[in-house]
Amino acid sequence: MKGMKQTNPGTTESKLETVHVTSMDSLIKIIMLPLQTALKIDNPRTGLAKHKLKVCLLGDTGVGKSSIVCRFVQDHFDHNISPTIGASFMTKTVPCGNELHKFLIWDTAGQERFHSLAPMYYRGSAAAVIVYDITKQDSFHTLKKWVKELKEHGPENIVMAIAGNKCDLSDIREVPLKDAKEYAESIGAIVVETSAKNAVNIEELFQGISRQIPPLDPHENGNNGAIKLGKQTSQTELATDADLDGVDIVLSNQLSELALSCM
Amino acid sequence: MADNLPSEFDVVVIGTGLPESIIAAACARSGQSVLHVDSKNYYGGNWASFSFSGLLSWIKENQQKTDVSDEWDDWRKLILENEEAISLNKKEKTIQHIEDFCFGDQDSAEGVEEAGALPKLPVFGAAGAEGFAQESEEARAAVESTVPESTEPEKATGTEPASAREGSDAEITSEDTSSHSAALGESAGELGQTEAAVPEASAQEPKKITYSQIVREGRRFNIDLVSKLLFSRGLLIDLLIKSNVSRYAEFKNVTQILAFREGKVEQVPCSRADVFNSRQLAMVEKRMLMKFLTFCLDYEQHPEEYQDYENSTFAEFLRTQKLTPSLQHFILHSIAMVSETDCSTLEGLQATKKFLQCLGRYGNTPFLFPLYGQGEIPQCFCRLCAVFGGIYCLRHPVQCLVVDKESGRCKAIVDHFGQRISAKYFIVEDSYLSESVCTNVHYRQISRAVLITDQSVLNTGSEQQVSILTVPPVDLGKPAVCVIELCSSTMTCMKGTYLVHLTCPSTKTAREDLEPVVQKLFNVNTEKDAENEELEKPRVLWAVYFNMRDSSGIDRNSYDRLPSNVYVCSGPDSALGNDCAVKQAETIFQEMFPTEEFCPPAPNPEDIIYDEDEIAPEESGFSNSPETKPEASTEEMSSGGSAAVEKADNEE
Repeated sequence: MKGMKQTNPGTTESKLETVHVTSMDSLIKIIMLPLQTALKIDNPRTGLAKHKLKVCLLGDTGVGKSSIVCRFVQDHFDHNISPTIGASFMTKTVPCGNELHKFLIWDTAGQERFHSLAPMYYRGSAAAVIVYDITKQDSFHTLKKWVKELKEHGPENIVMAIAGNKCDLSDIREVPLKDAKEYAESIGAIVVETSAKNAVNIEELFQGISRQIPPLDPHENGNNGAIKLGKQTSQTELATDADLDGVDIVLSNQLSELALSCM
Repeated sequence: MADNLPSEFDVVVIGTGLPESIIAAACARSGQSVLHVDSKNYYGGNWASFSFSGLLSWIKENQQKTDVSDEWDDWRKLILENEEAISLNKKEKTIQHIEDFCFGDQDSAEGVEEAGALPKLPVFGAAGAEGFAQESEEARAAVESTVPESTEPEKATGTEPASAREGSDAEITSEDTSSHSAALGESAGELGQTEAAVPEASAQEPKKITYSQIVREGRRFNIDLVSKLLFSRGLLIDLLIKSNVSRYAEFKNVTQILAFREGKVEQVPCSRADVFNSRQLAMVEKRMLMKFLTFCLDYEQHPEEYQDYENSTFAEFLRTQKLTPSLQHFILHSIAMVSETDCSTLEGLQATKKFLQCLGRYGNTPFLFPLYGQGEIPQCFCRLCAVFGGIYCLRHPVQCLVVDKESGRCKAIVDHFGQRISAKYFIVEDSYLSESVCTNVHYRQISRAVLITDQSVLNTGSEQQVSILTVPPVDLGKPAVCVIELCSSTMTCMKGTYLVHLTCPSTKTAREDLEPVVQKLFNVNTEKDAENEELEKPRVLWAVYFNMRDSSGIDRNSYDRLPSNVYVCSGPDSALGNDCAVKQAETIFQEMFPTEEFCPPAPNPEDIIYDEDEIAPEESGFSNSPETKPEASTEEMSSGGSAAVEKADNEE
């Protein structure tokens, strides 16, 4: 029974709204909450297969990466979001066909500021949201650098979505939508103009990603024998990916061998 | 980027190796403002992992002996009268004697058949095609013999149809390879992007891997400069769990412990289940081994068993026990992993106990390996630091430390832009310190080899084994060589290949130290010359040897005129585990902030969940929930290792 409740996509949001952020720690706590809740959901009984998708955010500092996620996950917009408080990750579950897509959205934690993102940031990502600011031509130029870096370090077959953010400020627009569309087409990416502030196209952005994600392979079990280290000191601290399936969809299926070798 | 760095921090950390990254995370976690810089364009320093093309570039860079010529001295103007500067190194000097080898590419009937799948391959960009053409030409020039009957299908697709197989029996030595390596290093980045289209089916068929395939799939490699494993009850695992940094990484179990004895590789039974299922051990041996291992688990309780041998070596002690020579070999080299000549009885017992205690926590062996390589671990700590506000700048060399003459304390750094950044504490990785500071420091060396091979050293029927093998020294007194073989599911090498790391403390150059072991375990000859026995061995497709400076265990006082608020972190040591780095990080952190907790858990989600009344019951029930069964069952089986050893006596 456990976990059933959290599979309702609305639950995470309402929970978050009731918590007041008083310090960085508590902010981070709150941000961690949905993820960990997510990891503990194992819902073979809800009927919908749960597909966990790591999504990484890219783009220059100040283009609104965190705001887009805040709007998507919490339906909330904060003008004064502190650039230094890099959230570790946020999650949100949305239905998609016969599956539930649980997005684990990793923020850059500010490491993009001096172009020092670590390769581990990209590991196992199913999708990347690359954000530019439609009012800043520069941010569209550097978009191409981010795409290049993604191709270098990111997994192959990663779904790329380009978000031209701040479309509420189209009167001071510097980047024509046409340019973005042409570029996106050239790299096979989704493109959409968004406004985190006015909640324009944010849902659509993630729906677009969802549509590009191939369905779970029923034969894969998502179980790759990879081990996540847990907090508990008891025997249950071993968490092979039975409950993390889908985070690393590229891994091979080794658990059965592991189990055999343990016999 | 136009963004400017702030000019004041609490802590400046120079170098992104493991100890520096742990300290950076610990400082940020305890509320300090942290600037973390590295002069290189990658994380990890000598703890880094590289893609194949990245490794080729790294090799090239380290083979260039030229010093940095653009010595910019203007920063000296920024030093005030009451200050002095300690200049830092601009050029990495910790890597020596690099030699890389490309062994002959293999073509065969199977390889040719694959050509059918090739039309699916995308057409290479011009740069890539040139890279290949150039490579194969140089290779042909460097190699005398070619085998006429076979052509290389990959090359036929769009690069150069006439390029017959390259290097068959001659190995291309370093000088020849370095030039074409360089060319490849540049093209490989682009080639890497095309790899997505390589048909899966062909990767799964057993077949010969060619050098060009390695280059093309180069991005699938994550090649560690240091080869280490995590002891499942070691300090690093504890720290990862305690700090919640573990959430950023995933691990694989080492699946088998191997021994090399009488010219053969064999599996070492170490858990109870292993021992009882072992076909190589006779029933009598199984009993002997279980009895001895059971004793080791609580040897302190039975001093009468070993006190007469406290002044002997562990090897001598083992000879007095009721153990056959093969069991003695297993225990000494593969379980305790200690020296035959130098290790005392107590040290050996301690090492054996540590091994046994680590069994069963996560699986059948005591070791874990991080997916994507050891280089992930420093990055995980860096992420924690960044989440707590730490600022990260790669490609950011530091000119000097600025020391206040009066107080003798370091007060700032001057970076390569000439910006002065002040801080209260400075953490500097050893390799950044210039020779003037290190004149009295005596460094040891580590000998390393990395091989890409085509099959496992022990054919077990499963392709996906992660193995550790200790090869005892040929000459007594020399160090044993630690061999770690990684399969493609560790995300460190392409399908159909194995990544083999060899490590030992240096006595000579890496090649002199390690090549004899490589020759024993692997086939470095061609098919034509090789004996049948040779053919059974895995083939080496590519190899690199290098020596790395071991700056561990150096007394702080050996560094000249080091201000008291400057702390030095060492590079990787030659030990298998990571305890040395974790200990150093904790010691330094506690010297700086004696009252602060070292890496307390990053706010744990469960903590908040307990705040939320309605969810708490669900959550608290989780750890025992039946949904954890899949892994619990693994755990149960594997925990047979340590738990059952204790019971073994009853079974006698």
